Amino acid sequence: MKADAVRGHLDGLLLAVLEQGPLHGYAIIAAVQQRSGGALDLRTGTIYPALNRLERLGLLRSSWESVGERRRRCYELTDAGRAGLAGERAAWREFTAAIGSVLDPAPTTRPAT
Amino acid sequence: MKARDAVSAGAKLNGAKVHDGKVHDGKVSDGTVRGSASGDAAPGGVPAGGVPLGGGPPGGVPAGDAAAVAGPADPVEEYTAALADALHGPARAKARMVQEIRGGLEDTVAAYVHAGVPGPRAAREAVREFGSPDELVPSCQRELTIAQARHTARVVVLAVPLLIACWWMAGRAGSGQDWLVPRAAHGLAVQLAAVAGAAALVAATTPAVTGVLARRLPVPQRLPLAVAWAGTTVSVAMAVTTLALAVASMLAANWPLTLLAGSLAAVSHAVVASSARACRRCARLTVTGAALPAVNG
Repeated sequence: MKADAVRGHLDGLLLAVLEQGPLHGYAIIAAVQQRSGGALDLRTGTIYPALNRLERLGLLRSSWESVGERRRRCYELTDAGRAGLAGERAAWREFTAAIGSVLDPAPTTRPAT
Repeated sequence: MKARDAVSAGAKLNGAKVHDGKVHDGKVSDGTVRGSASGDAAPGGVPAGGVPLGGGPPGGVPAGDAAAVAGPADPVEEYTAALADALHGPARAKARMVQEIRGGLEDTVAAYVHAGVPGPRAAREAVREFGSPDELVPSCQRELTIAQARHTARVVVLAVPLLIACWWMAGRAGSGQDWLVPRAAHGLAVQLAAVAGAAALVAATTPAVTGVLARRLPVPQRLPLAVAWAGTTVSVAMAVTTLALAVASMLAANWPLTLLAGSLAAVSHAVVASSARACRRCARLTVTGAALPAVNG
């Protein structure tokens, strides 16, 4: 799936992979790829400003974690982030149900004559 | 081949221990999720064969080796240098963003290297996978512009009480004198305080408009420019205050206090003016350099 198609859902994807616990940037990208079976083609670099934005909105919090000589910024969901994720899920289900009912209409029963 | 696919394939071949990249109790996990030969992964974690987190675990590639492997003409270095040149914003926020992106690139390179891709090619592949700096700059700059607007707004909000304090100190120094200059100065102080107060109101709304409220409403595109002009207004008020207090200090009975107030006004003028200038620059870059995506936040 192309990056353009994914862009509108990036917030939900990022929040969803962080639901299980804190992750750093690369691990987030890998988790999105893994969960999608490699179908989602993200421009890797674009997730970093997106993570910054979600943190600014109060949906994530972050801290530097040191591992050996390396430091990584790790992100985790806030309570507002969990609520935001629930909202994203509800909106997505509503959206897919609406599109699905148009693309795959249920067979209509013809009125008896 | 993506780095993650490459590493995953590597794990399948050798059944190496791999990492999940998760943090437990505030610590990044040091070891190793059992990366089974079938490529299992912890829920929500990195797929089996996820990038090593450093520390040189058995079978892993120390993540810090990525830059060394890539050699002198390191594409990662060039990439982060290009990004750092193109971005403008508060120094700390910019450094954090560039450092984080660089760390992500190094993780990607390490993942390729771990999968057996030669170092220089691994670095090139990682950069290609990240997207060009041109692709990244608009969204990064947008965040930095908002960070700069928030910073300038904080400076403005703090400067206005200082402006009032300067005039209060000058008033104390000139108390008991009922001649033209102190009275004129008092009138000027009231006018300046009103203008600066209006600017501070604009600035005071910025954290909420770009924070909690931005979850539901898009950040107004012109907000950084408005904050920049609020900052400029307060900096001009500070400059006028400095000048007025410098004149008043020559006439006031308690001239050291007036001079101190004038000096404070001069320092705060310099701080506010510099922040407002930086904010104007960022706002121009965001408006002209990149169309803002029509998404909330």
